[in-house]
Amino acid sequence: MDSLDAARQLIGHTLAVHIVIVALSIGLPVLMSIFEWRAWRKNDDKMRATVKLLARWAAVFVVGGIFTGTVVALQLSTLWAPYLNEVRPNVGIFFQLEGYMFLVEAVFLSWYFATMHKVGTRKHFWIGIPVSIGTMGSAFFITTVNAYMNNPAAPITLTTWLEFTHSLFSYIFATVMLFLGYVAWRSLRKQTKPMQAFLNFKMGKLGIYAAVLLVVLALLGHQSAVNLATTQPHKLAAIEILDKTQSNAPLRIGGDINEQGVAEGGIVLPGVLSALVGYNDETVVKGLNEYPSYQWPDLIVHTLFDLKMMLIGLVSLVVLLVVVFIWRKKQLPKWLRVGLIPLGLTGFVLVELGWFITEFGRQTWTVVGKQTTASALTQGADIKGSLIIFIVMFTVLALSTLFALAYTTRHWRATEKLSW
Amino acid sequence: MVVALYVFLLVPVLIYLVFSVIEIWLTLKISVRKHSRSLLFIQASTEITHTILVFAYAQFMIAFSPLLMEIGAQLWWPIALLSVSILLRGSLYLLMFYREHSRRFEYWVLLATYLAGVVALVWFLAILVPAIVTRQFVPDTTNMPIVLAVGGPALAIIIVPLVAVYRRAFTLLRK
Repeated sequence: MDSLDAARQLIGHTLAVHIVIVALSIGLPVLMSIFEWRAWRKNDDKMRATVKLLARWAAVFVVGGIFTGTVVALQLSTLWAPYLNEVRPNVGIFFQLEGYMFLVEAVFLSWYFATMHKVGTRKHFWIGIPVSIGTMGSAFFITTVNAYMNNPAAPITLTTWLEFTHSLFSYIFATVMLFLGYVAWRSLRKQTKPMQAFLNFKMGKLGIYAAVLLVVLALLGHQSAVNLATTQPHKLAAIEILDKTQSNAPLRIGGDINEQGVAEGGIVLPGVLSALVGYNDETVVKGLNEYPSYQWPDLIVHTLFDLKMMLIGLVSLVVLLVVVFIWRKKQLPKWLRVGLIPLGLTGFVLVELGWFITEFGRQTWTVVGKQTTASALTQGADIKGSLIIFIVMFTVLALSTLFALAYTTRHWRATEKLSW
Repeated sequence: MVVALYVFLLVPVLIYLVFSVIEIWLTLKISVRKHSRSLLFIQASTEITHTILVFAYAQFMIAFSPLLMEIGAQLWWPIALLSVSILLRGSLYLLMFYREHSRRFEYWVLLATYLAGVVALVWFLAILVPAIVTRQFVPDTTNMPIVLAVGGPALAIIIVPLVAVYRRAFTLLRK
């Protein structure tokens, strides 16, 4: 493995761990605020208890987020200094302003925990709001930098807004699905009738949130594809393995590109790609033939995209079933609740797949048209054997996080005298 | 503006160092003899103390990126040590603060992560400071007017909870 591959693997592993924590650091405060608002308005003790559980989880993830976030910054400054120097004149300010958002998030979250049992629900709700502002603010600033890497036409472009909103809602969706999976799991245990009714009500609410978020994400995802066709056509061509520029461009599910550079196999839907990105099947879509093969991204992005779409289909179906049962005022059947448990993690798989497609799809560029990934690496940087040490450390951190989550949830159950 | 930038970097670093010294001292105290109140202080303060360091580092890595292009490779090893110590500290934090009782050796490992952090910081500065001096490097202050302008309102927003959190940490220590 050469220095570039090693450095890429290291930052890749670090970001893959960090992004899960970021998603929860954004999603959990949003859910906390929604439930706390309900607890305040309806004077609902069960909701108050739910907020306490989510706050405990948030506390665990924020610790992980601060430490992994620090490691990301440390790596960027030493291994990827030419990259920082490249983006500095246009979007460097966003890295600097992000620091303020970290402070707002961390300070208010600490205050939120410190005041948990000391102030009323109403006041506590308002202390929680800046936490969300901080987490979303830092997400906005850092996503702006990433959007600039994808489309460096200006510091803030349409790409910025699409990337920010799409990622933000997907983080909230992932958190909603995780909590839905957890509630479904606990509802399978023996519960009293009122508690079972409460859990069913909660699953219904979460199912509706998930359904709304899925619709919003589908619209944003579609708009992102339309934007991709003009700002990063090479990425779109790789995602859809479109071998040559054409009108009536097909959408291909599965398949591959052979050694002659011709797409083959899979299910081909003629004209659908043109219709999707241009609302007309005569729309011309750029293919991979426009670029020398050494500038093609790794075509694994096509497989990752197909996998992502398949998972979205599956999750949508299950969420739809939840909504139908709730709409018909029926309790969720056991088989559906069992199915929701593993699906609770799919939100995070989708977040990871989305970022893999974004990052792999931009290669061989770090900043499209301006800086290749090879030239973004600091000269002489060689991380040698440290990659394995970091992988071990991330594993230790992940296990510690799971331990802390399990412990704090058990402790919450005992303190609140609850069975779920 | 260069002076403003250095003040902007050094004040958070100083705050970080002061609280790190307190945390190191308290960890040593717990390691030598069980002193659970010390742990409560660390639990209450660590998150913010680390965030203050991240804030300073975000300013540093942008303003000093032209210099980092030249010395980044040399800085990797102290940074790797610092990163590993931070990740280990995070893992220990989660293991220790979410359990009724921690083992004595865990306190020693926690202390070791702090000491490794100090070693890494000194090592880092031993490379950085001569590089700034010999090259007579002037950091990029283009963004400082905006950073300073946002700093006032940001400080006004966080000052009350910031003081409240640290005051609580000291109260927990005294109880």
